[in-house]
Amino acid sequence: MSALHLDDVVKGIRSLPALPMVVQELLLSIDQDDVNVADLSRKIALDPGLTARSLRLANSSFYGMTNQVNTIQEAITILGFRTMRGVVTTAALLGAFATDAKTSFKVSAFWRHAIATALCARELAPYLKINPEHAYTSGLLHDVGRLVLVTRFPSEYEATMAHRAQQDCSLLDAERAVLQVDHAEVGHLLTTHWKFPDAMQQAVASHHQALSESITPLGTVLVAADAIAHALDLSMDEDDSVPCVPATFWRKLGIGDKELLKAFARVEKQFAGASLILNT
Amino acid sequence: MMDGEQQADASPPDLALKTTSSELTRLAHLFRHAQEDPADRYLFDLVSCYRGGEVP
Repeated sequence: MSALHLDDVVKGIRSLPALPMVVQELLLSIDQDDVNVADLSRKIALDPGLTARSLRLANSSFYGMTNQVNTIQEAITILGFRTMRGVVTTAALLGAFATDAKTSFKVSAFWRHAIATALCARELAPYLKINPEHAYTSGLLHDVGRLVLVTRFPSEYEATMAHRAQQDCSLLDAERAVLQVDHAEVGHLLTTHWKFPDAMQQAVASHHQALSESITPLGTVLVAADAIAHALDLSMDEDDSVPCVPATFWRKLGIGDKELLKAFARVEKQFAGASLILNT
Repeated sequence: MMDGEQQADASPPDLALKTTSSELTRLAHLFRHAQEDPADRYLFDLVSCYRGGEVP
């Protein structure tokens, strides 16, 4: 029996390495008009691991640097604080789940899908009057519950993937059947534990609840971005599948076909560069 | 959203002219869990249009 108790999941989350405090400050600063950039850059620089990962990302070909940057302050000067805020957050999340667990879970495909969803959410955000940075980070995080399950409960998650293969069902349905908890619930617990902004916690929790009456605009963007990222096949996972999103959801979304088609093209173009950061 | 005219553009026989059979096969595989109801083909039809080169 592989069912998980929620208490065990919470213990698993608490046993994860803490996300650097400065990441919480960076996320909270998205909504602030008056940000002390010098103070935040000093705090980032105090964490050598985070600094090194952030600079590797900033120097990747995606950001089009002509000369290598060697300090956080230099990167902020050249790329701008908003871009570096995204770079540091991405670096922190990529670093939080480094795993050598021997499971059949495809970590690279996971991150390709996360980046594709983040880019897509950022494209759709203005249509629902949402801050694109919130949308991007939420997209990056939306499936993070899966990483908790894979890294903390590898044998149970292996059983989940075996169930999916056997039943040819979605991974979400397999999680609910085998673990009796799904990655959206676990993602909600993790983002709460990490003290991420409430709007992000709610959006991560509801990204498979397309028709929920309580879904927020950010949650709505995530539902759409997740489905589109799967449909555009950007994870390059042969077992990938698009979640069921009813026609009524797309009608409620209120973004025209032409706008969505243009967004697909922009996302694919950006993704070609953004996925390079996985090689850094 | 797709109005009547756009939905007509996205009908499968029309798409078959523009989208290669391997692309349609892959799309059908990707959407294997997504269409509980035939009315829920919206995203499938839209991505089919896109793969067929229908980008304004």
